[in-house]
Amino acid sequence: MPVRIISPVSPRTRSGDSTRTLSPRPGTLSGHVLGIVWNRLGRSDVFFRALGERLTESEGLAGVVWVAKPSQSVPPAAEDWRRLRAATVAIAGFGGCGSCSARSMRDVLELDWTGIPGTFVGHRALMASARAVAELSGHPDYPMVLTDYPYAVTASWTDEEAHHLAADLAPRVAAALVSPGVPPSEVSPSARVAR
Amino acid sequence: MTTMRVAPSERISYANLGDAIEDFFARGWTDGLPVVPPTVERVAQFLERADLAPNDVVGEVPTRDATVTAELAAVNAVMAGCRPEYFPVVVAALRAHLSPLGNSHCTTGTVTGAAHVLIVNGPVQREIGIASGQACMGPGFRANATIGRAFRLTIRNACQAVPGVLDLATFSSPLRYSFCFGENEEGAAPWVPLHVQRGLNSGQSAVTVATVLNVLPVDSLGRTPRPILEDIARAIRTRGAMTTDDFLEDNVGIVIVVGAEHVRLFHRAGWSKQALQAALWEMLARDSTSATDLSVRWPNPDCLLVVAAGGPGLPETQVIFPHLGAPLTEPVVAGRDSAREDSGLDRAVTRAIAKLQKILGEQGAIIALTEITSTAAHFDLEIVGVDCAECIMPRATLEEIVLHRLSEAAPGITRVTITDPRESSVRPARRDSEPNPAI
Repeated sequence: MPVRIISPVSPRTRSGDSTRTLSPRPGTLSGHVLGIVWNRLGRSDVFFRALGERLTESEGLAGVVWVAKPSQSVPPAAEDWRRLRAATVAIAGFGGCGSCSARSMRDVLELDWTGIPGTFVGHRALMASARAVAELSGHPDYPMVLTDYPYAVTASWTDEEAHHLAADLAPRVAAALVSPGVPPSEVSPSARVAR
Repeated sequence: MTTMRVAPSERISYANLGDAIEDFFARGWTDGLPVVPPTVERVAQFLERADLAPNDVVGEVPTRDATVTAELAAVNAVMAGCRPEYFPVVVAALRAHLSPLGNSHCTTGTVTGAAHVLIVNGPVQREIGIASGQACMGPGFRANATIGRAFRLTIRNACQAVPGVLDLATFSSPLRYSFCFGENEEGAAPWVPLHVQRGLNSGQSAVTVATVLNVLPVDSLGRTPRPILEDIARAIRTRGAMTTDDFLEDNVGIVIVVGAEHVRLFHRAGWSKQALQAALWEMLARDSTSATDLSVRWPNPDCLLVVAAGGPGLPETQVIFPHLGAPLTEPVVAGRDSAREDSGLDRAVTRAIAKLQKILGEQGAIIALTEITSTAAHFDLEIVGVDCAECIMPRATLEEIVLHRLSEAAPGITRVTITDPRESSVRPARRDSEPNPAI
């Protein structure tokens, strides 16, 4: 007997949302203030602080706004959103766990929607969830700066590893903040969200 | 309840039920087991049973732009094999989980593969056949199995927690198929049921949702409460537990499911749940002595959610360690029986007086909301397990405090009244006992 059923998945409603446009990227980072939204994972604070110092030195940043989120996979606290208004570019991460990666991607997207262009920084092993949130949010090709092995996914790094990683990623982060970022070919088809 | 303008879910036609079942597998809409096809007619029955409109919003996961409507929840409940009368329990569980402190995005996307447990209390247990005794955490009970499964299918389908997409669990867990049971309120009497401890009254039905990092059975051959609790404390202290989080603040907790044999021994010694909580809390908070004997300091004894369940046999208690979500208790509302549910007033009131309930709990009492309108709220004071009823705040003071607490959460309420059993000629029956000081 023929049957008519209802789909169990959410209909997508936010595509084409005019409030969700990405901000223009600056031509240079010189004189800009970098917002760093740290998700508290492992020892990624050592990495992010080193990264901030390197970018200040190499790119001539005017300053850094440091935000530690209250928990790995939640948005910054209201007061921290206010502090981030002082930033003119932003990065969020270190992804490092599934929901944390996805939330860090959303953090930087939400900043971008309000005029602060940014990029996500995380581990390649967990990029699927970050990419899924980028796609659900309407920006499937949003810039991501990814690291890979031998760096541990969960940011359980030594000081030396954290500093090495900062040195390695600093030029890529700088490039992502002033250009469209990684090409779409970076995206694995399996990471796409099922519709 | 908020009703939202959302695009309608897609309607799909199939030649027969078998085709629908297979296509759901192909589209990735199942948990790997066959589902009951959610026909338009069956979904309508579920919505009617809970008196919900299709676009009523049950909750949201903002990070994912996911809105769970009543229709989506009903579709997934049908798929799980629920009966219509189970659906209000599913809705209550989802409301709890999808509230901000449920931290849905975190607890369903994590590499840890955290799960959720649904603990059902109140009359609905008997009405729909929730198992709370022998083997209650395992297979064989339709209400337990399908309510837990409906919860998980909704998380998967409506909230996009799909493995490899937004669920990045390294191993995941079989508990993610379904994990739902009831508290054995009858077998544990006179212990105060969990939902009453958490601010509802004993006549209400409720579901408590807690996150599950893992479950640890503790077999203890202790013959009296303290040796049993020392064994439980040792098991928790060996492993350690997450007891603080800047986002959850004090809304953290661990679930201690006390088995029937242990409950019997606590009863024999005259120990109440509150006494158990206080003693175990103190044992857990002792200073660390080694890397395998860690101090586990919860903010207060109420963070130990003590539940009686399971059958006779092994003298065992199960410890359910949490992930990063608050344990949350939500009333089960079968049908739109009053304006209060529409406005969410009762939930706002419950939240507004949560801290007061904790203070009262320490004095051996709770207040249970019994009636509410847009301008007035009435509570019953329930005194549980104290000899000094006069030590509890006087009614007038309580009324004043509650009114003050409601001034922001429910500003329309200008009158609060409380029925105080101390003012009647009949003393309240003791529902619980204090511990035997000799133990």
